[in-house]
Amino acid sequence: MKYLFLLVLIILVVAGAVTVMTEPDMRSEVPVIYWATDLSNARFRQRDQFQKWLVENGHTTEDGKPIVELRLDLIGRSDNSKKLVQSVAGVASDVMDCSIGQMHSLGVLEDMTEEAEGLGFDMSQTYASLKPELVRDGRQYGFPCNVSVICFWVNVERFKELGVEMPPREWDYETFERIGREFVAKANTPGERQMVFFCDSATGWRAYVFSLNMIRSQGLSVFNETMTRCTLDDPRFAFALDRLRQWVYVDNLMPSAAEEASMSAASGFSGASLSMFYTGRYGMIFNGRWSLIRLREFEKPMQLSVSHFPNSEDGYANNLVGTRAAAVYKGSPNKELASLFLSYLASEDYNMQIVEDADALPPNPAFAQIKAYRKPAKYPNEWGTHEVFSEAVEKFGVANDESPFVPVVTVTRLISDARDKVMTDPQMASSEKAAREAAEAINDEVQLSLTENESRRILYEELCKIQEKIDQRRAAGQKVPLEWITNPFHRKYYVEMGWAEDATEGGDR
Amino acid sequence: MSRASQRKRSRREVATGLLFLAPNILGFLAFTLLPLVLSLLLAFSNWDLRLHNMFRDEPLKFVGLDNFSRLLSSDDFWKYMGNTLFLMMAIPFSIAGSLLAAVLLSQDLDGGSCRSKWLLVVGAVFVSGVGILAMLGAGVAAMTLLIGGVVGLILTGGTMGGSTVYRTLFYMPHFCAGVATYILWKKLYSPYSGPINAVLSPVLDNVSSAVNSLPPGVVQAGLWLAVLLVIVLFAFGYYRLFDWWRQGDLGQIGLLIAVVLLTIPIATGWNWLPVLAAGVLLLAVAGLLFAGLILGLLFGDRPFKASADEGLGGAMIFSAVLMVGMFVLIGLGSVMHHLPEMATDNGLEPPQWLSDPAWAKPALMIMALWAAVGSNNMLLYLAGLSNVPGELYEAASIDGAGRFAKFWHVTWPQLAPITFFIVVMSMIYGLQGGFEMARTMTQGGPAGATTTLSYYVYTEGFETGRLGYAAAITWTLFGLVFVITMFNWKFGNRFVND
Amino acid sequence: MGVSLLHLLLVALSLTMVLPFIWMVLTSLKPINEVGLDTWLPSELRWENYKPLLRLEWLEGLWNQWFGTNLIVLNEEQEAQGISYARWYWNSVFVASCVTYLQVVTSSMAAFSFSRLKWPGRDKVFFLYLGTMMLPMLVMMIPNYQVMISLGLVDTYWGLILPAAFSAFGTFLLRQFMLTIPGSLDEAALIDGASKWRLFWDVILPLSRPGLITLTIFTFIGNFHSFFWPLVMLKSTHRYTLPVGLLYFDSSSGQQTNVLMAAITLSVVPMLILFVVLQKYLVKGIQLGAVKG
Repeated sequence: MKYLFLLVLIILVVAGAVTVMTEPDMRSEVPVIYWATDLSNARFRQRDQFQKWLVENGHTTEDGKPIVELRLDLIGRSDNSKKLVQSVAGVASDVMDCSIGQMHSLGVLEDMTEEAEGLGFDMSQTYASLKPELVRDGRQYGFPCNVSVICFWVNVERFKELGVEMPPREWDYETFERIGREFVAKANTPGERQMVFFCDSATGWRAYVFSLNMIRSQGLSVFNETMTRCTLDDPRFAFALDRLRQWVYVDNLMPSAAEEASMSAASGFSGASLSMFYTGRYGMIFNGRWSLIRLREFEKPMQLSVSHFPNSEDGYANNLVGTRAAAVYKGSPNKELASLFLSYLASEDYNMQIVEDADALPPNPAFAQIKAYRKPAKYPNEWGTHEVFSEAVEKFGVANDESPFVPVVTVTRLISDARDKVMTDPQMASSEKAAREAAEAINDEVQLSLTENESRRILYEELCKIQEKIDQRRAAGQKVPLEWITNPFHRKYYVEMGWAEDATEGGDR
Repeated sequence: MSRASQRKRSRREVATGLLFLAPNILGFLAFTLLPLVLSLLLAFSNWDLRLHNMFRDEPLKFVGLDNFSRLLSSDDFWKYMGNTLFLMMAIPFSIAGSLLAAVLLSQDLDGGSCRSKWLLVVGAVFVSGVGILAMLGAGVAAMTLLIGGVVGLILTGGTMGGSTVYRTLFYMPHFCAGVATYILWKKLYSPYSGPINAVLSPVLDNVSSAVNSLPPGVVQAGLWLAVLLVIVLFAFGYYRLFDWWRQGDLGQIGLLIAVVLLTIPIATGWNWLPVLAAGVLLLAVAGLLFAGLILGLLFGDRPFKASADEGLGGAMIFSAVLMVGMFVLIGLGSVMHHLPEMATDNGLEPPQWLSDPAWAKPALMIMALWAAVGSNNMLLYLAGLSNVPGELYEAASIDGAGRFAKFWHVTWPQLAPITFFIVVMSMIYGLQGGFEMARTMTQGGPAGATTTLSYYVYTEGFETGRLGYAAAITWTLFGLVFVITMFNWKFGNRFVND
Repeated sequence: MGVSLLHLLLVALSLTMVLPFIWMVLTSLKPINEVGLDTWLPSELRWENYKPLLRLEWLEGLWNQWFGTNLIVLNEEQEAQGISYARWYWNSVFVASCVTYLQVVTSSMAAFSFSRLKWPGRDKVFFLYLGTMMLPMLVMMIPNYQVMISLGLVDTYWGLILPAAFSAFGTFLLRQFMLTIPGSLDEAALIDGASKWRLFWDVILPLSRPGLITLTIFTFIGNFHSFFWPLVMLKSTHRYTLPVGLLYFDSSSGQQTNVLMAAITLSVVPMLILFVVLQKYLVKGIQLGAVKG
């Protein structure tokens, strides 16, 4: 026994020595910065390109080498815990892809406003609708790696084959339902289990986008104008839930959770949806431009078109835009070098790579206008689809409501709970009740966060006073000064409805 | 022996004891106890990652029991606690499953001699060969052929390699780190295409046509039958407990716990029944019986006295079994009541499992049961079974004990230390459980139905950053496990030493 | 007849246990557009899915380093796929082995102390040990992380090995095993003039071999799968363990479920070997012990 233990010990020591000795040489003559980002082949390319970009733009040491070495810290795309634990402990990566709202609330991000102006990655270099994602209290904290918006991809051949009207680029619920019913009726054999659906069931984050777009088209958002109260206890949210339920259970346009589980078991972002779309069991999928990364790998190129999110009758057309933004960590020893990376994200080199890879939209809107974006030479089957996404951002794009009083993940979870309650069992909760409960739970979270932090309470009370004034003015049919409103949706909505005071008239604040 | 030398000896003993402990305890102090004490302190503070981290040095405030009072008054906490306890009801079945698997595997698989073993092998090869040929001839689907081939392989391998092969196969799910297992079970549970419902739906069709052919009243009478049975079980339980107490086989603590366990199904279940009268009847009869028991305890004569914790374990197992039975009966009764209307509507439909808040937990429990058969617990039992001295079985055979009697009087007591270990660990892991499952399989949904306490800790601590509160949840959990373990300890050690 | 029935029962049970594995292997051989569909069987067997995993440039690198002059220069794709997978694989095996070794050694000593030596306060200390198992790791993670930072162990192999190496679980398990060894053996040995140290090595340890093997299996497999701690602990890609590395196949460009399943299928191998080799002793060891006792 003794000898066995000794032997194993010796083996382990040798193995340890081998392990350490075969480690790649990680020494570097120049400072190293880490970029915490999600895993994908493109990241390696982007890393190498950054090193080249540094040389081309004169960021070099005396002997002409890049001034900094970029290394990747690869993490799962949905896992926040690593960034969270490391950043509060002071050892996070120098550059992080993150939700700026969440990380800023922890106070771990470096203010980049001056650097942005100096190095050319200020807000003028990207979509204006992303401002709420990147800017907090007037200070810029990050720059987009890409810009995401979700639309409906259409399998053109499938629609032609069935002789169903092609989904138009812009449409309302009625058209959506009409085409959908026709599609489902023609594609399925009556009396048998339904195998083909009009579109995939939006799950996870996409489900949130679905519900949010639907309530926003009726002029409602998750929070009120000043983000102090959740406004989901409203018939308009219940209406959206009911409509969704109708699409799933009455019209059978989309699979229910149970049906979806029956068709595919792969979890995750787009999971098996793309396979189902490719084989024609979904006429459409609700997904972003990044679907092309996978679709291009499939054997035969698909004939594709893209439709916007449908709008409620006479409603307000909108679509949620998001971003995977990079920010600089406050505890980084090389903040200045890290800000160079953000500047690289605004460069032509980087934008062109996003254009070519189809990894969502390039950060700079100008690159969504060029030919390489609209008509990639290698993929003529995609022509006509790319501009829909850029249009969706420019014309309809609104950022998410991020209240300073509740983390956005909590809001998303509570809303999806409400959706589950309605969708999984129609008897379990009426949509009004589910809507009310969701609003109550979110407002409870708001109140709770106030008791935790005095400075938050001061801000809250200030905002509540403004909200009162807004409500009074609205009730009296008067216009409201735009600077009172912090909710990105209401800001856009008020302007377009003509409810906002012109800047020249000024407010009383 | 002089006192001084005695003291010297005892000091020496402590020194040796600590010496052996040292390597473990040093690491333990640094990597477990230190963080642990910190987390305990923080449970009484407003520790919040949004306020306190490397870059935000607001003073940490100690808020006393605020976190705990908020916790206990939060609906979420109780809901998730309920979920956790519900899922833990699978533990006894899991333990039984792994014990059964271990007992099966430790049987003599060769049929006693070398010759019979080879006969078996030849038979297995023959059966699988003919089977596969027949399937090839019949032109079955490739999948059926594949499964047939696998069955043939296992059979041949099993007869040749004996328990080694089966044991490895049983343990297979643990090699795949959950991911594959979880995805596969999602597939099995698919409501419209999964194999489980494919088997269930014809069965349910038959049931619903049978129900439809009966007048509704007959089926609904099942509710009253169930209520009656619950009362019978309840009365029987009280009678037995009282009798044991009177005979001096059961002490006060055991009696108290057993009575509480027995009463839980009635106290919580009476208002689940769809007919109020049935619930009230149940409550009334139970109340009467309870009063009777109290009277009996107060005034009945007790010729044999027992120590307070005498017979605790047996009584707990006894009432736990009755408790589960009563719950099942109450559930069945309610189902019977609704059956006619359910059957006339659309026929009975099999459950939607993971997509249905009501069925998601049972679905996970079934999965846990399956995983338990070939689990670590099975390995522990296997090791323990081979440790049972053969002489004991021989002695039992001489006494004329049957197979079951041997198991009950020889195997089971010999396995007591292992069972004790497994029970304690299952409780601990059960209360902390469901995190991986919720993260990878259900995200705690639908509608929070599979969110367990540990997943709640995760969402509170890592979504919102309220680590003080998360620590408070953890320590509440700890309190619970601790109390349960104390009981296990007390009863377990007694049990082990018997 | 009874034996045949028993075999049939065991085969049926085994089949349910093996199904996930079969499904996994089949999925790992599918083309990407068939992943997640109802059919289990791939339309064609894609062995290419294993190709990125099985590249052994890593070994070539080793060769170059020792016998050549310079480390080979890796291109992006190699680093992204083949080499890292082999490296991650090795890391996992190495870290899990170290943890297992340390756990078995330290836990058996502690268990010996708790079960065989009598010293005042022994059971109280043991109960404290037991108590620490009852707290979920999650809440201790941040304090533990601070400890790691102050020891300078972030992004090192030690940072993965040390926190996992001293478990109360192993101590508890082995204590229960040692309790079943008859006390008369110690007395005999002590009368022969053996020291406690010798008693431990020559009597108790050999007799608790099944316990040690059980612990080895549990610890190795448990640590091979450990995900959360390595995830927050590691920064350098080449130090990743397998479960962290597997995230690569779950990348933002969509899951490569087929390659993921191929990766998991391969990851089963070391555990399977360990299990098959050790389980024999699991039973044999005890029988020998029983005969001697």
